[in-house]
Amino acid sequence: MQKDDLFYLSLLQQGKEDALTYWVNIYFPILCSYANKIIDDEAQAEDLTEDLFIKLWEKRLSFASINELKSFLYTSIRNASLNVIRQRQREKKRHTFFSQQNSLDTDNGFWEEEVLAEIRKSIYELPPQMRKIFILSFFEKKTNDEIAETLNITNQTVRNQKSNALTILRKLLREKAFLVLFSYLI
Amino acid sequence: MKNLKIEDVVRIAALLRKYREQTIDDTELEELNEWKISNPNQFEQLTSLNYLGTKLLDLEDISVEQHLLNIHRRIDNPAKSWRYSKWGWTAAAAVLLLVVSIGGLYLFQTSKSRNHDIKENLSRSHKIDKVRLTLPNGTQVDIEDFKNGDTLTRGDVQIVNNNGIISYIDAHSKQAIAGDNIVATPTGKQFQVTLPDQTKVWLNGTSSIKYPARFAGKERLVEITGEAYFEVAKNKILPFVVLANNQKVEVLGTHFNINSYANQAAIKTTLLEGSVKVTSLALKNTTAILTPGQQAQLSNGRNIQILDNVNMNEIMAWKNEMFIFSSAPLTDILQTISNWYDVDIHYEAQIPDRYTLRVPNSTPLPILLNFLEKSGGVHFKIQNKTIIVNH
Repeated sequence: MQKDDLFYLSLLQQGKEDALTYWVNIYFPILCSYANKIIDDEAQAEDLTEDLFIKLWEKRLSFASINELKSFLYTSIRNASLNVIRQRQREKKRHTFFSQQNSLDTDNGFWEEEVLAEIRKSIYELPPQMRKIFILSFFEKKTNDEIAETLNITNQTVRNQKSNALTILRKLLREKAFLVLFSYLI
Repeated sequence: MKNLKIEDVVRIAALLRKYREQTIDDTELEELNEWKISNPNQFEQLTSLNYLGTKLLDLEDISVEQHLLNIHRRIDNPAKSWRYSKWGWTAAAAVLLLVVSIGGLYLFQTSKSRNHDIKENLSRSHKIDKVRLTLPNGTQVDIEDFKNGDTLTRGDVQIVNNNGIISYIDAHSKQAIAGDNIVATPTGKQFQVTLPDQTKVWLNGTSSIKYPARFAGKERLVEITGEAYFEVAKNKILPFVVLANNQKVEVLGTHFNINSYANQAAIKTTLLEGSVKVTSLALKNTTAILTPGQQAQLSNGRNIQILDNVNMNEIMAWKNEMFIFSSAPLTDILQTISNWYDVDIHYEAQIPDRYTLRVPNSTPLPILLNFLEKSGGVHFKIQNKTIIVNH
């Protein structure tokens, strides 16, 4: 069966915790990173994101579509992060200074987050080291030698992992290209 | 606060990808250019492989594993609220100290809630997440991805998939192992099993079949829970017998479906082809012989009822991954939904109306309930794991 967002939403609604694993794997780092940009506290950002996925599980039956699920993820993490800021301001007697950078990010509309999520989905099936090698070579256009040095492995390992990654992805991306075309027609 | 329209975000993300892959057409490019005008920085960044690569690598630095474990642990144990953070289990430790200092009464209360947790955990452990095979010696194996020709080793046992027939050999003596096996499905997952005599069995979700590694004796005997469809291999000598709750079904060679879910009022056996004899084990002398197109209904303490010309499309819909109901009582529909989505149904009103439904079983629950509501006369509310039914 083709594995895509809708598949994992169905599974989630059937009460399968494995489906939650998919959503956590794709979105946890993205949402955590977003929260951290606003509240500038890694540990607390991680807590907020964990709470978010617990809520996702509890509300799993309430989503009528993928867009509703994604909307929930983004809206909730933004609200939770802003609440932390407000709470801090309440606890200080005078205004807190936080960098311009933070307030700009709350207005960025999640374009970057969703673009990154899409890419993460298509390389999701790759094991961690293979993923890193793939990102370094395909996205950052690093040479095999540069990659070997960055990751502290041999050039031969890099070549093997690249070829394995491409085999896996070639099979997946053919399906995904079809799926993505189909999904935005919905 | 800016209004977030997720449809737009998803749309733009798709356009950006097409742009990067150079598969974007003129209309789409126009659309993307409009967005580019109000978001020039983002356009540059999100079409730059280099920029994306850096961001993707940064994300790889966030380790998800521990958090995944925490999340699953918190879901399975809602009474506790342990938090792992950079400072370790400090929050939890503080709670523990508090408990001890308040005294005996409080300790007694917490130990009561701990017992409740244990009971909940036990019942939860009987629910499975993957298709599971239990061997005669008790070993359990996940066989969902077990393909033809694969071999698995578990301790002293080698499990082999030979054209769908699963057999076990003692790894040392290479002898076949006798005894009963159980294949069980989790909620919402179908699975096909081939029995040692080539009989094919399709299990619906939350169902199981117990069968011997080898058929011997004077009959081929299996036992099921839940729902299963059989295509029994012809054997003139050994009759095929299925036990389900208080019912026994005997056949020689034939196609039939048995629905014996616990939440149904009756065990329903429907014959597609061939001939079956249904026997009630509770009322020893009660038997019925079915012809194709008939359904036997067996409820506690009553005689077997036979229905003629039942709707095969509806009964076998599950095997085609659909929900099909034609003017069916709402209770029937909700029973099926309850089994598939693993939800409880709570009726705040009696709804006597009948409903027609034809959707794939992968339909998100709110959409399915919406269809029913549109037909009129019923209103649903979803609360965690429960559907509340009202006028």
